[in-house]
Amino acid sequence: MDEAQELAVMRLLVEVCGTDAIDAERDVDLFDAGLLDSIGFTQLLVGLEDELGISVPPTAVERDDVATVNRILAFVAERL
Amino acid sequence: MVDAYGSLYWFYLLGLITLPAIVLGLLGRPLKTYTRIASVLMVVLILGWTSGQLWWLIGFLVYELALLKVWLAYRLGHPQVNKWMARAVAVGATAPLFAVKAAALFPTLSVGFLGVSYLSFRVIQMVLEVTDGLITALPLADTLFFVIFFPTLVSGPIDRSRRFQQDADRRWTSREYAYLLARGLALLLQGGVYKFVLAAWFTTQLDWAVGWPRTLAYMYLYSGRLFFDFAGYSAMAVGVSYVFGIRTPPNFRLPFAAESIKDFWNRWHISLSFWFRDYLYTRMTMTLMRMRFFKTRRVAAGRVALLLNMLLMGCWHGFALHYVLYGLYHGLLLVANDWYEKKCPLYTHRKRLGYRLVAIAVTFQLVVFGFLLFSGHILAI
Repeated sequence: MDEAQELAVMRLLVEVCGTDAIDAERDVDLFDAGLLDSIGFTQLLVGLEDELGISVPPTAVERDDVATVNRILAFVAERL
Repeated sequence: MVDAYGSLYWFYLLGLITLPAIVLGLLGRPLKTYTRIASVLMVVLILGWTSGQLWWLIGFLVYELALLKVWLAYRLGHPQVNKWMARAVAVGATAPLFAVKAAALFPTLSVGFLGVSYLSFRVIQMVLEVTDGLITALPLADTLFFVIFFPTLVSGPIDRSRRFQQDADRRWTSREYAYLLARGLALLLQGGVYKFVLAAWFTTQLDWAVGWPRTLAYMYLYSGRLFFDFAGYSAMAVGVSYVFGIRTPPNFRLPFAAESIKDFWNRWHISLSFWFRDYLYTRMTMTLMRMRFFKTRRVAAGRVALLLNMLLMGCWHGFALHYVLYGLYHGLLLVANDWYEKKCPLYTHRKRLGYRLVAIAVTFQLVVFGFLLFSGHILAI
């Protein structure tokens, strides 16, 4: 994953979570922190498809796989 | 017909049928074959030879399994599927459930069998996962026994096929099985106390709470009964599953400690709400978000889908007005919940103890009012 792609993911996450504080705490569980929910999760999937061309069926993603910023980045890197 | 989890006779039969499983498990032997034999026997006993329900079940299974098999074969030969075709297959898999729910509007019709909703959910999710390419093989026996696994036949919890299969194929060691058995028996005991002591007590009190002035009392008593009855059943169903080596997911996680309506749906009838979330809500939202109108309004798409999702969840209970209202009510609450979390400054205090206590109390009131709607009691007065 290059820098531009990582930036795109971070921009998407800030938009979905509604706060840029997530950048500093990349291992916080976003579901537990109330920053990600069913709407946010879906926004994330659609956003990844639109901006990075990563298309995954919703049930192929466990919430645990995308619960923190670092895990989301790893998830994206694996599929690029 | 035997009243599953409801009569002494059922528990006597359950004791007889689980004993061999316990012996096999403790010896570290595979449970799969015996579980299948037990499931067939118990399904026949639950539905009864003479009631006609067994024939409805057999018809249902033949239809749904044929649909699954044909769809999988087609899917394996076609890497790209037409989305309208995929939708038509999903509708086809839902048709029996829809027919049974519609027939329920006419009291003279006796169509379907006990557990048709829960069995349909298990089939529909497999159809969708075949469409998504997540399921690439469906051995007939494995598929059949996932659908008719007897401990969760009548009212769930709704397991996931791929997860279920991992447990079913696993050969537990004696030590591992002893742990599953202990946990299963503890859950059975907990469920029994919930259903036969607590729910039974609430039921006796309900007789008293009739008529307008006592509607408030009815609301709390009915909610208490609903919770202890269903959570009790669910704990027992999960407990029996464990005895057969299947770790069926739980259905309740302290729902009345929820701090918001959103939180409530992560704790109440979990296997159903997660089913709706994963197989309906997310897909519906993704479709909406791709429509031109919602391209720049993704949050709005999510909210519209929330409303539709809860409305359908309400209708799933039946097409009676009070169920539809119940669904609509929770849909509106979830939309309000989402708006509140995104826009209201009060929400920033959510970690404080005082805030949390108030949030729990408010959520509880909103929830029990929902149950009052659900009960049909207000409409009947």
